[in-house]
Amino acid sequence: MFRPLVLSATIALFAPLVRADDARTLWANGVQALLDQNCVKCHGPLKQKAGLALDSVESVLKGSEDGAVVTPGKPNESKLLEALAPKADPHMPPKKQLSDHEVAEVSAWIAAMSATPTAQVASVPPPATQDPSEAIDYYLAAGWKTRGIEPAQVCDDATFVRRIYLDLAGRVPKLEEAAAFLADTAPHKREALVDRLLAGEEYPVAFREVWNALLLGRHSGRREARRQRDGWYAFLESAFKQNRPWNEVVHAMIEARADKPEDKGASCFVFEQKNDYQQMAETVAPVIYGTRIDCAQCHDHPLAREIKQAHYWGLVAAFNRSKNVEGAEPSVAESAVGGFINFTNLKKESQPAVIAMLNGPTIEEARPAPDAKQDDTPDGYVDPKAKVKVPKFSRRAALADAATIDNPLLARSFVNHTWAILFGRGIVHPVDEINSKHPASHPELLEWLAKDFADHHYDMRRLIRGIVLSRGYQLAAPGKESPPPEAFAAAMEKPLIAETLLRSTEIATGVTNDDPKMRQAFVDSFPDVLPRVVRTTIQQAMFVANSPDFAGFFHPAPGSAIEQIAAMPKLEDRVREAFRRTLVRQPEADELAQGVRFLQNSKGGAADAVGQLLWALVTGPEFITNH
Amino acid sequence: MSASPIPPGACTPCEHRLHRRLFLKGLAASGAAAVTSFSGLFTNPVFAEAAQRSQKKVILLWLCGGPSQFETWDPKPGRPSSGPFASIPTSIPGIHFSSLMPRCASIAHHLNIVRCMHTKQPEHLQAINLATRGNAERAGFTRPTLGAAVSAALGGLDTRLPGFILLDPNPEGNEFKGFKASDLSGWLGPEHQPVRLGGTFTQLRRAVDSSSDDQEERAALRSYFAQKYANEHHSNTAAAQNAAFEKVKGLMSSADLFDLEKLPAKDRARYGPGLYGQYTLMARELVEQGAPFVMVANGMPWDNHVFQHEIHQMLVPELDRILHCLITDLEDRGLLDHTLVIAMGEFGRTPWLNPARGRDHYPNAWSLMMTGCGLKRGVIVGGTDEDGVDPDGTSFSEQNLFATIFTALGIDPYAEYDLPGFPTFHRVEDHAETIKELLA
Repeated sequence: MFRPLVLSATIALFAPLVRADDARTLWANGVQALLDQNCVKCHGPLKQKAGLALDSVESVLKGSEDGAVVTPGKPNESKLLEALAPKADPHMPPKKQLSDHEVAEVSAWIAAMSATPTAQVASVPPPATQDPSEAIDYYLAAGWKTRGIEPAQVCDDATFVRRIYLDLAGRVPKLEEAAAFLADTAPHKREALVDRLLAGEEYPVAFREVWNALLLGRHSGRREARRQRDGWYAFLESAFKQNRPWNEVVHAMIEARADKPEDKGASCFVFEQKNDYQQMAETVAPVIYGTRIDCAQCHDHPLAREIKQAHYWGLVAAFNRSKNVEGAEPSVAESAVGGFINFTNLKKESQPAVIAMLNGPTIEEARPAPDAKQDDTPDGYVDPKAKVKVPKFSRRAALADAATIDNPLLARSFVNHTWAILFGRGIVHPVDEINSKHPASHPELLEWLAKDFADHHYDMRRLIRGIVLSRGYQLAAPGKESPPPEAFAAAMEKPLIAETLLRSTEIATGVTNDDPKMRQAFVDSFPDVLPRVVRTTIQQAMFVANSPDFAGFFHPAPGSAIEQIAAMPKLEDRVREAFRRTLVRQPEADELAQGVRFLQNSKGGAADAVGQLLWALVTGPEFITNH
Repeated sequence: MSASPIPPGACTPCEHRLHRRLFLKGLAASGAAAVTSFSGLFTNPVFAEAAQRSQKKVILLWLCGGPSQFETWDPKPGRPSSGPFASIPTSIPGIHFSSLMPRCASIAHHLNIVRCMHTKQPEHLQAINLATRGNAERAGFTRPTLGAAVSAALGGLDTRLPGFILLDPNPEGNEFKGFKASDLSGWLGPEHQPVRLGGTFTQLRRAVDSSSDDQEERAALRSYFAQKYANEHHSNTAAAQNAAFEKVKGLMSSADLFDLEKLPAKDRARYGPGLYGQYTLMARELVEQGAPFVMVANGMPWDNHVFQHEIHQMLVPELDRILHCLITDLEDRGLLDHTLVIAMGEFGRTPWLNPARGRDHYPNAWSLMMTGCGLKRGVIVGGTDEDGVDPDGTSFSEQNLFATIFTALGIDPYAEYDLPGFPTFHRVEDHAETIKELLA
């Protein structure tokens, strides 16, 4: 008797806080996740107990075999809500009581649903432009309008020059570079700088560093050294330098044969999986489909209905005739026969695995009778005597074709990743979960950019240039009130990756120390690249506070920033210079005063004191993020 | 990928902080009249200390590479699988250890040996993962290692020490190096990553040396700039960084605990000159100061595919001495009742020798030692057949082992992790049974 009273009081408390007219937002921002977590195991794509599925609005409205479970607009008449109440019979979830708050959330959502079937949300009409930057701004502005959000102003030049160097050159700008840009009075100087950086030597390296980690993951020294030796770094770098079409790059990675000189090193992508075909499938899926499919190993994806177990095992089959061939260069041979596997679903039904693409097509292949023995004859191969055998029908080549020709998911994946690299969050978030469970914040924008990218021969530079020259990319950081991140209405904080942090530390301190050991130490402490959740670890704090490697940057050395700054007669100037070098800005009055006081009170020599001042700036949140 | 620090169904941290009985004992001893609130307890140093001492802890002596059961806990005298070393009687009637372990033999009644471990991974990296995470790998999901799981369940006591400490003087170690570089806290998140000493991670001692007067002032200056930035921007990084720096500050104040030079000289001599002994001694000190989980490793020395006997002749006596010191010290200090000591590798060695007179990997039937923390003492669990080829009857898997460890620590072994967007995972899957022979 007591608890229902509490419940209604809670509803009264919570209801006014949500905008009652927006059932869609309530669903997307909480109810869906709540049902996924608590109900969908038995009422979803995998099982539909009592004929009920609760994984989408449509399926909820369809109801169970006993009829409707939700009466839109009327939570009190909805069976779904009834079942959640304590002591309900039947009670759901069976062994758990949802909190009052959670129940209130479901109730508010039902209340917000309109009695008439919801009309399709009007999609944003296409823009009247062919220019990616303009299209981005058009779609972002439409989003701000529907969300009722006022975006931040466009950032000032000092912010821009730091941001763009970090993103496209993988380091902070040098003192003279920043000064030159700030002094430049040309009207299109941002555009000019972007073009110069995209044509520069540092852009391919910076993007290789990011994509190396995204494609193959961070690993310790030996494995990274092998990637470098085997030409994987060079392959990726030249792809960005030559601006090769992305579909061509992915084709080379999957096919894994160095037929063309520019594809040398591409086979590392498959080779590094060491004949583990499931790992190959799981590694390639986010690249060609934009989504992880790991969950579909034992059953269809429990939440995203379109991802089937057949997709998972189809990708496994695409690789399971491959075999690593050790030698001077990493090569992956492929057999002309075998590799006909079956997979078993939860109902213990066995099915043959065929290469079934998530974007639709299936790769047909004659299948021998189950007990027939296949002969591995020489005429199955292009060159039967070759050390690394290439079959006349290659499953890898077939997958590479299917993945890179007329596969819209490939472009969508690259666009979403690139957007996330530059904005700090994907249009679909998390970045590698483009599926029905993770709706895009700006679906039309994602489609527009993906189509533009594919239509322009997967031109990476056009996409990157388009993004960084948009107003959206150039917005200032939010004030104290931060807009929801999916609105892209202000600049987001992005942690620098280890390599960028190392180079930026070198520039700020004027001490060069870029040996492999130092790089490894930075990577050990800052391993994340586009992490789902940004976290600062105790290991990081220990590294910057105590590591002798890191401390080396802040000892006075000939030619270092410390020596130069310490030679300035006025303490104020020393502080100003330290700020400009590290944060590309002038100190504010209180920062200046604080810095000067520190230098005055320091017991060590002038140079030591400046070293400590630089340390205090370099280890702070403003330096270790791009914002 | 976020995870709540305390999985549902697990005991709350307060339950681990203080046993009711000890609480009453402490009350009586201190003569305090009354304690009005639970949180007030911890302002009382007597209780804080009592709580810290009653806190359950783990020292995991990680014998990486896989020691031979025949040259340690399960000798086969007179059989072809036996090496050149004899077996000796122990303080448990009828039970023999290898003659390389005389000291442990003399305190066998304080130890428990599980002689029938049976696992299914013959490769190092996979086996290390299996034995430290307690379950077979599942693609796409990284299960936390034991240290992280214990840190999440028992950490957070009012201690300056981190929940999971990994002492490893040797930064190398073949596959073990790869393991150390991997994600050891899995879905529990980086806050339960170990604080490591060894290799590029040996930073605390340096910090002690370099703690000049400026150290604190520069930290204050850093935090001034950071605070200002956080106030004016919506910065998650600033807050997270701040918390991390606070933790480091706590660690720095305990930096002496991580300094080998500051360990008692007499003890250092007893534990022996090797770094494994020295770091085990450090683990003893850390645990006494409240660290809930310390793992001690030393690269991967036990993988003796060649010169098995010669190398074991060096390694086993060292282990014998270290274990003897550790167990007797913990017992003398009254810590063994609350401290679980486990000595194990990722598998055992073959009953037969290879052509290089080495023993190869053998997960099929192997031994480990675990004692303390309320476990029975002097129990020999299971056994192997006369040549040590198969377990003789009962056998236990990594899941049984983990269920036993969690139970000994008072942590619900079958609690479900609360991981939004994840499949359902438990501390121990499949309701695997505990090794009941060990549980009092």
